Amino acid sequence: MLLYGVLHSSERYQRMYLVDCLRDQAEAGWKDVEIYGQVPHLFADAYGISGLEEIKKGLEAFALEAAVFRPGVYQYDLCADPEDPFGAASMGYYRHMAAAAVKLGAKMLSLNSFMRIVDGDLPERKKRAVKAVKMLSAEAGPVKILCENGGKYSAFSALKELCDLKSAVPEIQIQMNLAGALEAGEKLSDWLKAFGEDLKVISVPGFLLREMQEGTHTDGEWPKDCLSALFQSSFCGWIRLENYEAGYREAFRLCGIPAGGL
Amino acid sequence: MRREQIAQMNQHYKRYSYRFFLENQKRLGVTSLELWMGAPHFYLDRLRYSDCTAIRRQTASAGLSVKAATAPSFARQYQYAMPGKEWSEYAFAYFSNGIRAAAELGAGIVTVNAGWELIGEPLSEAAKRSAQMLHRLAEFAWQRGIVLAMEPLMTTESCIADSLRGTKNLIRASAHHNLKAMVDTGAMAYQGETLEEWLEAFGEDLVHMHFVDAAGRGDSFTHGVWGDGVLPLQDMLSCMERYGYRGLLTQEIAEERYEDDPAQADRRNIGMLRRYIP
Repeated sequence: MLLYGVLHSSERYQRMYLVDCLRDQAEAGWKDVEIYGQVPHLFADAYGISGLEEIKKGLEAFALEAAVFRPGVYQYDLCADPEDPFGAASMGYYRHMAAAAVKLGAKMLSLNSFMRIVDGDLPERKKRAVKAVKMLSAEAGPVKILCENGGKYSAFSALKELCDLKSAVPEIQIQMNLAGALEAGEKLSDWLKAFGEDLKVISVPGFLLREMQEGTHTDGEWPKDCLSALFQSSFCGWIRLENYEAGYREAFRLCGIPAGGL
Repeated sequence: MRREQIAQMNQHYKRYSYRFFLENQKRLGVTSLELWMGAPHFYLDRLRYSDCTAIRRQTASAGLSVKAATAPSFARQYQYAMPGKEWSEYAFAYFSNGIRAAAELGAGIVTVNAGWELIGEPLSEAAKRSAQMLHRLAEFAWQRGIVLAMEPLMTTESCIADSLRGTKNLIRASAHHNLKAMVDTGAMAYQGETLEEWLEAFGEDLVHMHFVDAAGRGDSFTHGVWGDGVLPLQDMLSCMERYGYRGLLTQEIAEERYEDDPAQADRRNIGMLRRYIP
């Protein structure tokens, strides 16, 4: 594995000041951060954005870079009909966020807003989503679109559906939600085979790492085995830690990774 | 208690269409709704909102009517204690649009909450912002014939008004006659409070309820189907009779586990309630 860095997301800091997140990331010794674009750090809706300059200044002050810019998901839906006010507002919002990602100098723009309406027309919703992703990819310029397996309530819930999206929009890059993939019975090797070097981020859920730390995980050794396998694989990219309160150092200690990273 | 006091909320149907939600309520004989104004059922932002005439017509065709409404604030850009003047105005625009929409839908009540503070800021500052916002919104609602009902949040969500005492303090600080109290039985149970305490404290100024089962004090399970928790349903209904409560009993079934099959959750829930409110 070639680890580009560990991404702490500012998503955890929704009730805190952004500077707390940036300071934590800088003190941890990692250069890249995931900026989660939502209040109280950034205000954005279908009509505009406010607060971007403060984020840029914060990143510069701590010598950090935004590897990923992840818009606050809110209620928007890229599967919605853009002729409808809701669909139009959703596209408006994400177009602003694409522009924000460019201004921040982010490497990737994370999109995970694809609602699966159980009694809706899923093929039609997916078609609209593909169109939306293509448009946003064009508008994001040098910033790559990053899509992930969104779970059972997403129109792109698992590996196969993400492969379809990738075929339709080849320039996108991929984030693997590790817990979701393993729950679906998928293996890391399946993902690496499907996406190769376009698999750029692997998101590791905090609850797994916490259970491993507390010794309360009862579903066998698979998280640790999986993470060990990850570090022996051909993966080149970032590891994103989801909501792990103890911090990344403890997470990696559990996986046998030396402090300070690789 | 009367059957029409049972009001259904639609939040746990957010993986389904609004049409599907209405069909299920019609099947259950529910007539009152508290509309959760969130996607995909309703769109609301600071400049626009869904066609309320169409929503009202669709709702009426299923034999239901919107009696109360809620503008979502969790997982949104807007909250009641919004920091910063510019963002606070955006929040006011959003919540006042919610009130406009509620009036167009025929609702008489809009639920609000205290918003939340930033960790590290003085709580009094956040509480002041909240009180100012709620005062403005209460006046705006008053001019449109809508009553605002303020519900407490849980301590994990906000420390501004997370209890009976906190709710009383914030309503007093907001200083507007049109801001009334409501109880959320889940938040109430989380704090270890009782319905009788709330009814005794507020009297006829307790105008609304989110009336749900919960797992008890300090637990995070707080918005469940009746029968899934530990709250004493029959005793609570008797208590309401004693105090003459005539407001809605909104079923805010907000736990994610019910979202796979919300219709089944509602069947069990309404079935349980109908044992005591035939």
